[in-house]
Order: sequence, then structure tokens, then C-alpha cells
Amino acid sequence: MADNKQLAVAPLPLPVPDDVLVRRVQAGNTEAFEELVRRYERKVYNITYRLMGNEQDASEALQDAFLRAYRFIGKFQFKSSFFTWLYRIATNVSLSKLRKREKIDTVSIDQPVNEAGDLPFEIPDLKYGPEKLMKQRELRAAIQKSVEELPEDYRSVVVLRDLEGLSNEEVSNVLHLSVAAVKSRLHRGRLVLREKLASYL
Amino acid sequence: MKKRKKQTGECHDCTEAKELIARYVSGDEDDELARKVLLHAQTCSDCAVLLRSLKRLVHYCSLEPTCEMPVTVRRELWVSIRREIHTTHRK
Repeated sequence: MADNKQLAVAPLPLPVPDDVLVRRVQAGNTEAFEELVRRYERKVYNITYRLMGNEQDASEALQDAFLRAYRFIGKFQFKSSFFTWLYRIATNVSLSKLRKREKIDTVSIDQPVNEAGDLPFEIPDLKYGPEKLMKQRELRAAIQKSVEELPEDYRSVVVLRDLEGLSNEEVSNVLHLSVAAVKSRLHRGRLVLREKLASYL
Repeated sequence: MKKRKKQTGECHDCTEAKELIARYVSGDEDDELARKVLLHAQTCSDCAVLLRSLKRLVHYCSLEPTCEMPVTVRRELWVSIRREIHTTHRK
């Protein structure tokens, strides 16, 4: 009897494709939405945390993203994958909150890193790996801090591509940018990060 | 155009090389591109450092662990979602 009860409340199995779950939600099945939340809550939290830089703001953005997804899932037309759509919502919510939270320094994405197009860097001593130079925790903190300091256009691309591991094509879908624009912003963002993290590289 | 005089007397166009390095590190899979980048990096120390540091940066970022979602954050998320679902269903 207890086993039957457990079976009755067991969440939907993971292999159910996202699209099937979305159609179930659109038909009024709220458990399907809860399954989508369980599937993506950590990923979405990572995106909001990377973009917002602190737990409280990330938590608010996380909630807003899923609430918006729930309110608008009826309009989802399967032109993109569900996760692309969800990540776009999470990114937009986070960036919108960021704009409200702080007066963002609007650096043009076309502005060169410096006049000469050169970047100052320290030549690393290859005898020592970064592990020997710095504790891993410090490197992680430095990466997070440097990412937070990136201009908004670069930050979203770097977070999605380099930290969350999306492909260039997926990032272009999430951010509604061409793949060429993604690559361009990614490279510029990386150059800024490289400058900030020179002592670790 | 940035020209650099090498000890070998050979001049290299690093502006073009930097563009190629950007494409290479951004994931353009092209054997010819890779060959050009690596060939240039062998003869230009600045570009070699640029290439190496960008590759390390991408590598370190890829090693970044997933942020652990705090229990309180997850709890608040589910409270707000269930409230939303409840409210929507009552309408």
C-alpha cells in the first residue's frame, strides 16, 4: 500500500522530452511544469547567480524567470527548444534587474580594448601551474568577480558560453543574436577577462 | 596594421593573426585555420602568449563548478511557484 502511494506521487521520469512536458502544461497539467522546474532549477539558478553576483538577487531572478515561464508557456510555439526559451527569460530577467539595481557603465561593444588594440598581459611562468600559484577557490572567486564586472553585452555571452557550456548556436538562440555577433562579443569579453585575470593565466 | 619585425627578419601581420586566434578559440573548427594560427604562434611570441592565455581562460571557465543552489533559495522558489499555480487554477 505504501509502495503504491509512493508510485502515485513519483515525479514524471526524466526521459520524457521537454516538448512533451510543455504540451502537458499547455493542456493544464501543473505537475508537468513542476517537472520542468525540477529539471532546470539548478541550471537557471547558475545563470541568474553568474549574472547577478549574489544569492538574494539571483534567487529573485530565479523565481521571476520561472513565474514568467509559467505565465507565458501557453504562448510557447516550439520554434526553439524549451531550455533556450527558458534561458532567454532568465537572462532577460537578470539583466533587467541588474539595470534597475545599478547604473551600468555602458561600454560600447564596438569600443576597442585600448587604442592600440593591444592588451597588456603578464607572461606566465610555465614552470608553475595555476594550482601552485593560487588556490582553486581564489581563482573561482576571481573569475566570478571579473565576470560580474564585464559590460552587460559581454557578460551574458560569456556566462552562457564559457561558464554554462552552451554552444555558439545555442547562445545565439537564447540572446537573439547572430552566431557572428555571439563570437564577436565572446572574444571581446574574453579579452577583458584575460586582462583582469592576467596573473592567473 | 600592426607589423612586427622578427629576429628572423620576417614580418608578420598580427592584426590578422589576432582575428584568426579569436575565431580559433571561439570554436571555429577548420583545419586550415588551426594550421595558420599555430604556424603564426610558432613565430610570434606575443600571439603565442595571447593564444595560450585565451585557451587557459576558456579551460578554467569550463572547469567552474556548478553553483550549489542553497536550500532556502530552492524553498522560496517552490513556495512562489506553488502559490502561482494555486492562484492561476482558482481563476
